[in-house]
Amino acid sequence: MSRFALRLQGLRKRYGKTVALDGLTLDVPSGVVMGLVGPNGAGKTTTFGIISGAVRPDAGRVDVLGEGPFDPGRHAGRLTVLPQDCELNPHSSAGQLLTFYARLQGISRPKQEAQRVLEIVRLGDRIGARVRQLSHGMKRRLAVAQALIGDPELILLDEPTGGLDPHLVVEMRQVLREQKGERTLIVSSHVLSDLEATCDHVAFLEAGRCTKTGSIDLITGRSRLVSIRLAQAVDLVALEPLLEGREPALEGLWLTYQLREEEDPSDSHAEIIPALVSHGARVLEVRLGRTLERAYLDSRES
Amino acid sequence: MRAIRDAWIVARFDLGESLRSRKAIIFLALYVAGAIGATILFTELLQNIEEQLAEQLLVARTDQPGSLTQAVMESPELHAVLARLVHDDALATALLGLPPVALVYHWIALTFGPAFVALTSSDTISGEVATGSIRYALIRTDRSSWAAGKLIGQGVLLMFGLSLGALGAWVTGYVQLASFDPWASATWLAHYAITAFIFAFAHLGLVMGVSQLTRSVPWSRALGLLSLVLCFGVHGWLSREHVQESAPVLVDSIRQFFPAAHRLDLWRPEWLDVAPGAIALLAIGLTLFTLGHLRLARRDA
Repeated sequence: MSRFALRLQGLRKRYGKTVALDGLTLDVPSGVVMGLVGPNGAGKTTTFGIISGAVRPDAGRVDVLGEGPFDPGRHAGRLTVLPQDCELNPHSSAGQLLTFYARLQGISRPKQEAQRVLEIVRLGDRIGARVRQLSHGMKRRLAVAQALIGDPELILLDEPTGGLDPHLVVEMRQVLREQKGERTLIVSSHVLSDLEATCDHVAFLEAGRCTKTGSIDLITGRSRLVSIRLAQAVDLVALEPLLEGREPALEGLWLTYQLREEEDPSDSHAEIIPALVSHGARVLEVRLGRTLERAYLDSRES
Repeated sequence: MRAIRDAWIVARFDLGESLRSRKAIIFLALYVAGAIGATILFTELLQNIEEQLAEQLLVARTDQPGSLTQAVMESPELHAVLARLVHDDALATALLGLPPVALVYHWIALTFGPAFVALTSSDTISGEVATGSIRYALIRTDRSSWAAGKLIGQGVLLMFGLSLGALGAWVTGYVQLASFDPWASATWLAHYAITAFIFAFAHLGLVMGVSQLTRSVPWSRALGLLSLVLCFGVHGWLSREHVQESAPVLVDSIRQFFPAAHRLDLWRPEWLDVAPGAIALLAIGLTLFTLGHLRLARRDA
């Protein structure tokens, strides 16, 4: 197994005058769940298209599962994709459609496989329903189901929770979490809380380039940053002796500071929070690191 | 081997998907209705000829056409009609020994088959590119196998439609004609369903080749029909006497690239005589399809 499930180097792609990718370079380690974050037009969908062979890059190199650019002969069944805004064939039933995909992948018992993946996305009772008769949310789950057929090593999911009801979003997160450790997942979403809940790695894309990538712990500072939400602003100067050497910062009602080398977060909480309260601060929430949303916005601003 | 397997899987699914759509059902119904309608019109024509013949021979008229089939088949009127249809006097004479229902069916299938193909298949590939459903398949198989599967699927659908049309013609002939030879008619209807398929396949290759050039469904439909009209129009112009006389060898060579140039071969009763035209038509269909595929193979799906 390759150390990297995916390596992209200097990818460039133009649509007429529009630059979709401008030298995108990104490595995705094997076995991680990576979130792709970026505004509309950052190049996420084009990147997925190039990885899966649907879109031809103008320049750059793609290495999928250590075996070069996507080639159905080498990668069919090992890489699957949930593309964005792609419709499923409308006249077949959910079961017929998934059986067709399973057959193409060379699965020995395609009908059973179709049933299995429909169960995963909680559509087991809809195997005979025509695709055109399914609701939007069901179609989206069916599209996710096709990406789970077989035993893919790498799955690309473009907006997997787009248009789903809140309770289905929770279920979908659970489905994605169940895949963790089994395979490499790359998930693109505008809902950063979804990515934070499911991913262990993240990459920020901006104007066709990767501006930041790393583990969620590193990006959000979970391993060394403490964020405290206060009910009202405090005087940071008054707290300086208490937070000396911890690089304190106040952003609105969020007070952040760094953990010391090898410091256990619970020890820090036991020391800092009572002291804050004794200084008249009212603590509403304590968390390790920033939210992914905050980290992303900080990254954009910087 | 994998490419063949994948093409077959795609073809089976495409055929099923087509048959489950309302559009295909409507066009299949049109195939049958066209064949039945043409057969009914033919039997009415036959009855008119028989009535005239009965008057001339001073024998009793009948309500059911076909009572005087032998006499009609030997009549100069029918010979003239047939000669006009096949543009060949000698061939018309040979065809007069065949069941008339099969001849009418063949004429209808050759005339309207290409148009039906343009209506049913011109958006088969562009439609999947437009909706993006192609991407679910292309992650599992290569573009050539997928496109070949679509061509086979549409080809089988076409054969299915032509066979249903032949069946409709056979049933109509059985019900309408007094001197109807069921076995000979079935044999020749099957024969002509195959030759009609070969003719339509050349046009299927054309419209499915065009379907690979664009991701717009309306455009591919328009281009499919336009290419068909151009195909027949240019061939018709090349077939004009003054054009042929201007550069006989060159014009005749160019004509061979158009399906209509091989239509006459398909009327011939012997398979050996049909073969050159059939091979040319299959080659034209595959070439046009492959030319379109060169575009699909290189562009973003």
